[in-house]
Amino acid sequence: MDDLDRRIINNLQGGFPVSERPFLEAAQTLGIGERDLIDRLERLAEAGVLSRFGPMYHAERLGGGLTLAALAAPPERFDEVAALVNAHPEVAHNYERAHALNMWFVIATERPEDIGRVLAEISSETGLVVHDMPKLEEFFVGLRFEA
Amino acid sequence: MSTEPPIDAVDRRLIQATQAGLPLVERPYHDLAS
Repeated sequence: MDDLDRRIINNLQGGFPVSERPFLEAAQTLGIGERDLIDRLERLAEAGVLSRFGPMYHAERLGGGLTLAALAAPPERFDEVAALVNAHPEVAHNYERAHALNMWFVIATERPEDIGRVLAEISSETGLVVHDMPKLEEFFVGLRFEA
Repeated sequence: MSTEPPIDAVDRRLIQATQAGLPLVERPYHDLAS
């Protein structure tokens, strides 16, 4: 990444224009051409710097379900368990943690009642206890990375 | 207060269509709409 890539990342983490030519508008704010912006975003996505460029939705406000879950994967099976968890399309994020519960993942479903089914499936497939950690209260949601 | 989410069937289709992100084209919303 160069400095322009960093400016692009820092500027496009919120408020992307909803207009006929949103990349043109965003590019003008950055002082670059529309094609340059699109090309750079494509390159950042191909390089894996950007995992996704698009809107984020609040699963629960859409009527869906959302929960944080954790399990203790035996070290010798960690990669196998991660692959089993990640195979579920409802798993949004999955991280290894330095803790007895060493795998934490977020599950988002179209219906709240599907959360239990997904947790049960993961438990059955991995042979491990899956701890459901549903949100009790939301204080703040905001995610921004300074590149 | 209604417990139904404030979205309709078209909203759901739009959400489904943008799960992987916006198309990186000059007119991404036009691309999605068509």
